[in-house]
Amino acid sequence: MNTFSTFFYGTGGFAAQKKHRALHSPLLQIGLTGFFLLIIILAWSQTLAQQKENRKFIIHGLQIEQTNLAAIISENLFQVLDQNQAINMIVQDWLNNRQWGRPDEVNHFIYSEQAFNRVALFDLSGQQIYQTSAQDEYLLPPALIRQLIAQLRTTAAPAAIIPISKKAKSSWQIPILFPTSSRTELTGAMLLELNLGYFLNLLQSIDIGPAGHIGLCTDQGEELARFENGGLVMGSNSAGCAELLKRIDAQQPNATGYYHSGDQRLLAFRPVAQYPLIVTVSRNLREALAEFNAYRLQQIWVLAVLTLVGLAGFALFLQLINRKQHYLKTLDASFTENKELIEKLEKEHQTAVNAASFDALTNLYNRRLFVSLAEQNLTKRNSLNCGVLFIDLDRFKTINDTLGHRIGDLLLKEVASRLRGCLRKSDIVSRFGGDEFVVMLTEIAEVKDIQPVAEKIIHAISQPCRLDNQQLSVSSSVGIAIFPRDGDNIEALLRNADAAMYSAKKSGRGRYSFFDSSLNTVSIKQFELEQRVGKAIANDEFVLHFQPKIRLEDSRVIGLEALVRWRHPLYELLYPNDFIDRIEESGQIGLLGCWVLEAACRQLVSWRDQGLATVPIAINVSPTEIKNPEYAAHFFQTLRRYQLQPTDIEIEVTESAIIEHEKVLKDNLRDLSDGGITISLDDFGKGFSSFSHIRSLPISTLKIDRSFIQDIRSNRNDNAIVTSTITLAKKLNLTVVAEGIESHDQFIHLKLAGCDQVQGYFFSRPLPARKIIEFLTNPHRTKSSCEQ
Amino acid sequence: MRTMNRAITLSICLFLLLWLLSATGFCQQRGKPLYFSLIPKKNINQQLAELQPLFDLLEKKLQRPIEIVHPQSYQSVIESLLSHKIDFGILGPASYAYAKQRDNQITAFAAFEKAQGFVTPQGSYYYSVLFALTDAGYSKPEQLRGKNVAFIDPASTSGALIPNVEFADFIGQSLGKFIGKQVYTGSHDRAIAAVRQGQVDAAFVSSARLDEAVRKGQLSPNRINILWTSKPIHYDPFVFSSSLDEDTCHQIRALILSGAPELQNMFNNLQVKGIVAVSDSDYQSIYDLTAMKALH
Repeated sequence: MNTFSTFFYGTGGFAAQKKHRALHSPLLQIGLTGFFLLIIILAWSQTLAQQKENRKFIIHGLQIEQTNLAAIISENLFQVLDQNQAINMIVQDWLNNRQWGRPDEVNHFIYSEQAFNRVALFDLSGQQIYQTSAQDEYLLPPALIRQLIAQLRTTAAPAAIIPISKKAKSSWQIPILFPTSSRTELTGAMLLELNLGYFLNLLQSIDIGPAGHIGLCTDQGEELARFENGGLVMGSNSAGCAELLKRIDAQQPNATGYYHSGDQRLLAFRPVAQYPLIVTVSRNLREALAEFNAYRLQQIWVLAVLTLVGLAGFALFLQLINRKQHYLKTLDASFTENKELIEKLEKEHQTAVNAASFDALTNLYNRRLFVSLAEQNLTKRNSLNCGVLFIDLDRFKTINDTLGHRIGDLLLKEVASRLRGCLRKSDIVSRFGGDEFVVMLTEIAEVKDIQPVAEKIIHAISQPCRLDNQQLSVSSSVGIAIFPRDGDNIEALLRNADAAMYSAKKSGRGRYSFFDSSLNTVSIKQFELEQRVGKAIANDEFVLHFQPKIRLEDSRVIGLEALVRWRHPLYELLYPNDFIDRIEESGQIGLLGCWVLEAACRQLVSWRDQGLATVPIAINVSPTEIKNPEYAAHFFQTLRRYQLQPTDIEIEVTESAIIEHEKVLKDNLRDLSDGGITISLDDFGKGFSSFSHIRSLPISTLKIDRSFIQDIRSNRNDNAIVTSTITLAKKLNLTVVAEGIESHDQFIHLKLAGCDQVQGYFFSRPLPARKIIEFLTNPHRTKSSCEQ
Repeated sequence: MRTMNRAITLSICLFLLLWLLSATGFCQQRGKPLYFSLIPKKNINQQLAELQPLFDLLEKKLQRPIEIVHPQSYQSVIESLLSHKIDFGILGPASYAYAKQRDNQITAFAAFEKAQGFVTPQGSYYYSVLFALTDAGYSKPEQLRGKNVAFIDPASTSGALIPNVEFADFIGQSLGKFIGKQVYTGSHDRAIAAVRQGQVDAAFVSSARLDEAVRKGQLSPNRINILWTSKPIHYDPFVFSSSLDEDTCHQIRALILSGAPELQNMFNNLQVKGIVAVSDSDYQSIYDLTAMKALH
């Protein structure tokens, strides 16, 4: 388990491995082995010592058993033999009374006696006086008896064993001669025949082992009989007798003893007190210890087997440990290898990711990462704008070609660093490749804040730089697209910024350009413009662009706002912001106004001629125009000239216009209104007009300024303003038009708030007449159709 | 007539005298115990228990208690008989011969007639057999040279006398030289047990005792390997002590040989056909053997 955890759980596994290494240390293994061997040695020594002790204990038990047995038998024999005293008294009595018949008491004694078979009495001369049962005299000649009596007298021994002829050796009678005496005077002798059958019956139940024996010896070391193999053996002197005799001689008379004889026997001996007999109890040591030896052998076998098993087990254990260690080492190595591999892979992955995300040269984000980051940024739903700046170095290819790629690369790096210097941390700076840099300015509160940044970038890049001892100046062109007005996704924004960049390049290098052309300000020479108005009208340099007005109720195009553009030969397309104020100041606005009216009428007629169903076109009327008392008359005259109805042309006046020149303005508006012209109040909310003021004017439509609409996305207060404005306008029976709608959110919000019409990039930016035809042929708009 | 009267008177007087004599004799004898003993062939108590119907019969008919003298050995029975300690008893053929040598008045008068046994044929004869265990693998007696052999009692016929004489003749050597160790076990049963328990290699026993051991299941026949069989031996005789009076002898003999129904159970237990009369001459061969033994 550890091995896998080591692999899978990294550092935790390392700790476990260290633990294992501790187990595998050779010192510990030696220690373990030593400990194990010590246990084995202890077990063996303890067992052997115990066995030795047990053997001693058994032998000691044997000694006690044998000595006790010898003592009992010898005491029994003593009591048997000592009966001669009683017989002696009977015999003396009989002799003294001179009863020469049968000594009945002697007979009675022998009748009741089991140990003795026969009694015979002798006088001092050795002549038999009496016998209890007949026996041939030749077996015990008087001379022998006489000799024995003499011997008894001299030795004062209490008995003498009569030597038996060899022939009678197998008989079970042991004839013992006792002295008969009256007081201290020896009167003769008495023969008692000891029956060995008695001895056998006494011992028959004693288990002395197959090789053990109980012997009866004379004090001369002659064996009379021995109990062995379950019976009596007679007349064959065992080898132990001579040794026994030596022992007896060496010790006190009547002493008992116990010795370990030469032939592996343990022998206990005990003389029968006073009488010339010795009892021996002998056991074969091997036999007595046979059971113990078998047990001991078994124990040793068991221990040996256990030792072997233990050794084998321990060896296996060590082997296992070592194998495991080997595995662990291998695993360790492979783990390290894997780790290195993983690190390497990670590094490579990081490099790859970097390569995929960062531009290797400038270390700016590359296109991929930029797109990803920009997308994230765009999903933040707030009311703030984002600006995407597409920056391209002018004539970079030439620099590269002439000064070399090295300088080119250095220049790119320098540009990257300068770009970073111009921007906030939160802005996203990237290089798309070549000399294309793209910047996303995040969280821009006002669109006009973008302009200074663009100028700053162009200025910073245009600063001369020294690269490899070469002084170098480079200009850049910047195209700007604004979220959400120029696109609500990054692809659209990039596309539009790129387009803007090209238009910037076209209009001269070292410039910036908004994709929304209306934002582009051109510094036009005032004089030149003022001088050229008349000529421009004559040259047809002015054009009208149209932006559709959509009715929210059914998403239908119900009108167009005409917006004037000046296709100035020097400055490309100029927007009203660039020239209206100047023209107004120069007093030539009336001219332009006339032209716009004419152009609008002309366009309507042209579309009608083409068979298109037209919608009313609204034209912007400047305050200067509207204070001209002739304006209304001129207006209607123009309509008539083109045979148009008053409903075909609407006019839009700004708030500022209605504040000044009140009298004339009111008259004009009244005339126009009376003539059936629809009048809209443009840029409502920007100025200071109030509803009460509006009520006094013949205005039928309110156009809420784009600044309010742009804030709709998040700002609740603005939302409230828009909503309440719409509510109030509706109360005054005014049609409400929202300008500058850019997003779907705004669209939904305005629809819910009850707004009547909208106008803005969300549906369409202002377009040239040829492009607006699409809206006339397909007046029903959806968002998807707008995008086409 | 006078002569006839005198003769009648005389005969009546004689009869009266005889009657008186016998009556006084009977009166003297009645209630006096009769002493009995027998050679220890097996467990002595068992032997005595088997004979109890006979003792009961004798006590009942003779109106005298039978006192049993427990023997320690064959010799002790002989000595008891010689010293008149017992009045009658059962001896072995050899011990009868030994006793007869020392007191010629001792008389054998009856013996059991055995039924057919594993070794012994039916009749009043048996054998001394030398047997070993089949497992020991002996096939001839010669293989027992130097081995330990069990004997019974120095005064036993089949367990001492016959082996010492007849078997010694058979092997042509004295037994003491041929056999390693002669172990006297004191009874046939113990000798058989010694063989069975492996204490000795073989034993000389009575065929009748071996049969009994087989019968009692102490030894299965297929374990017994008979290595040698003696000539037939006449069964153990009932003998009278020389001290016992004629009349009592007569009565006892009559009762023992009567085949009284009271004895049938005993006969069945002992696996005997009955008790037959024997005479001293039936044991002549044993006398010869004892004489030969003395020469050995």
